[in-house]
Amino acid sequence: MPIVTMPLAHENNALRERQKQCQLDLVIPALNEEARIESTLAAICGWSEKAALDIRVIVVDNGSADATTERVDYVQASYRRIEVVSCRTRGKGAAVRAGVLRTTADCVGYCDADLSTPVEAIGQGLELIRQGWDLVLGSRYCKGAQLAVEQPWLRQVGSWAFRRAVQSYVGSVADTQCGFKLFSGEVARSLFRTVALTGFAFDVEIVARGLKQGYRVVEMPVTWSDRAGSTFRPVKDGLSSFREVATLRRTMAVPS
Amino acid sequence: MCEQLASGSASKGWDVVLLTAASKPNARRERRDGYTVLRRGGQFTVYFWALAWLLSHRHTVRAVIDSENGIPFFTPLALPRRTPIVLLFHHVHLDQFSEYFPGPIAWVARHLEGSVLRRVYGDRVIACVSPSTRRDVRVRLRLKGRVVVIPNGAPAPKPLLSSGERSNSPRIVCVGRLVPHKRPLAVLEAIVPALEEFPDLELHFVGDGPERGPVSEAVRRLGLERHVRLHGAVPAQERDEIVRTSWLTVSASLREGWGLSILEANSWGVPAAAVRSVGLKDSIRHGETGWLAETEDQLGQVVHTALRQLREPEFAVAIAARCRSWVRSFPWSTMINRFMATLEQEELRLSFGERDRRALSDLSAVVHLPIASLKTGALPGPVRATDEVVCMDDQIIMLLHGADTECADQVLSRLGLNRAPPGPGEAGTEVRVARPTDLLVVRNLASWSSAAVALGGDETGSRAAMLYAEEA
Repeated sequence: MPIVTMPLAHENNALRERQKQCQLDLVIPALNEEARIESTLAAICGWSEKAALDIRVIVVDNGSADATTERVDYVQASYRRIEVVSCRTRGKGAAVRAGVLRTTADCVGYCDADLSTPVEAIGQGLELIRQGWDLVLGSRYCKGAQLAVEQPWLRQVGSWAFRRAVQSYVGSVADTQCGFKLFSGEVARSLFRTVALTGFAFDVEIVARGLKQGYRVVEMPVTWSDRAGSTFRPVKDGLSSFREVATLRRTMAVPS
Repeated sequence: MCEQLASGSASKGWDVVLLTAASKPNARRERRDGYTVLRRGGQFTVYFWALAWLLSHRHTVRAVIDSENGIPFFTPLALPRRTPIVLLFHHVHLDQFSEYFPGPIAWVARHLEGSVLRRVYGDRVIACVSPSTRRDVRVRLRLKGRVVVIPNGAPAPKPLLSSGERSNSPRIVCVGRLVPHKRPLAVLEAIVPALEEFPDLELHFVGDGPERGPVSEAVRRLGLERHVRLHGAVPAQERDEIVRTSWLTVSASLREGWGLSILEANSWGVPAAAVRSVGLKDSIRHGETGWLAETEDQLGQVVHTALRQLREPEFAVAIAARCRSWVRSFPWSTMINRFMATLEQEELRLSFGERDRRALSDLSAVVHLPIASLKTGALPGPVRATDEVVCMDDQIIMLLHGADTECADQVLSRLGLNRAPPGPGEAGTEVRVARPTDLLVVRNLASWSSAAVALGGDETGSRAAMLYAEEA
């Protein structure tokens, strides 16, 4: 397991408490996801019942014009621990932030509405949180990761360039942009209270702040499948992500 | 719909001109129901005539409702930037063009409805007749303007029929033009699974069109002559008689703006069975006013199930009452008020010009506020012009357009309605993300004063709401 070594800065009672029991609040940002959200939620809820895990799912509607919320209702009829909130500030970062700030559990995570990372990764991630890691980053590029369905070439090139561009902030972290991450609850709420980026590059800021503040960060290899119908537009959102990263130095200078 | 809109706004004091294509034997210029009808050009040339007329009257036209039926009129090209224009969308036609036009023309039409429309209309406000259309306008056409959902009005519910007044033999009606995208052949096939159990089943097609030939042929091929009648276009009275005595209306249409024929059948207490398609999934409430099949293949099974349930007179009476109640949610007056309010808001927005930096959002929040929770001395402030407020039973329901759940909490605070935790046995204030159905049915009392009247207060505004709270 590749590990980004960081000082163990938060070993305290809360950590020991976390190791005993673990409830998870899982945030799913959604924008016009009526075609996919239902199967994603059904998979997560079905898996959580099978694994006897206490998971509350918080779906954050980021301005859908379709029937995303109604599709969530269908699953909610059989799995009550789903909440829908909304966030009018556009951007994945803003939506995830809105969701995380509503969490109360001792473990917090987020994943994409298309479930490009298999649900089993949640269990593996929780195990790492129980072991004392503060940030567990799903990774498509670290050792052991698999790309079950590869991205189109344009996104692959963009991803490579983006990884190069953010290296100075996140050091040896191989993949900041995987849509699956888990945190210890307090760490997540503390980090997201200060996050400034609202677009797709917010992950970079979260990881950079986590490293800067001395949290224990680990990359967890995942099996990742590219799904058709992503709301990420390679050219427009890709360029916008680069622009966001360009502002990060100034953003990070603000004391958190 | 345009006629209703024209006469409705004329009755509110507007000087209305309805521009439309010429049609014989109608006059080129006509005065009716308080508005003027100008008929110019044909099916395609009307677009040029309309632009020419608007150009010559560009300084006297105060507002425009531009009705998009495949191709819009591109009215922003002829009018000053500050003139409010509401682009009225029934449904998106992108998939339809290739069914009706040869390849190159269909390609041009797709671009006119897509990229050209997007460029010409920019941030102009768009009125969609259903949440499905809103979805397509935003996701497929990627239009940038504010989108409001204004469902068509529906006929007032007709007197309640007892189950004995419907036909003795199970009767299904399908009202509408016989055109490919309405899939009349699929309706025909949908009755087949029920024939064994209902050997005297009747299917009545009311309406005409290019699919009449193929439907007649299919009737012969399937040996359904005894069960199917093709009425063609009939006078309204005859149509109503067929609908009134039917057990069920069926539609296999791939896309509708709103499904007006469904609502018309509902007004007679006739429920509907249809494929869950664009528009119909909004106008039919599955399990309440009808049945929705997930796919066309399942429509036959759904029709069969529906007929079995409708065979029970008690069930038939109950669903008829629900259909009539559903139709009551859509009076024409509400539609007209919403259009007028949208035009006024657009006029205000354009007057701000570049100073208007408010970010658009398709989100809305719904607040359920128990009337009992209004404390004595609470003085709710004014709601925004875009918000809608309605009283239902023992609660006030607010639909806050453009607001997320956090913003809704702020609105409540501003109104002095902080979300205090409810006492034992009390219902608390609930804030939730609006569902597409909320956009249809939370309708327009539009101000606290209206809410207060509905509450029974004898004064207007927040004062009356407060008085009621004290009495409660």
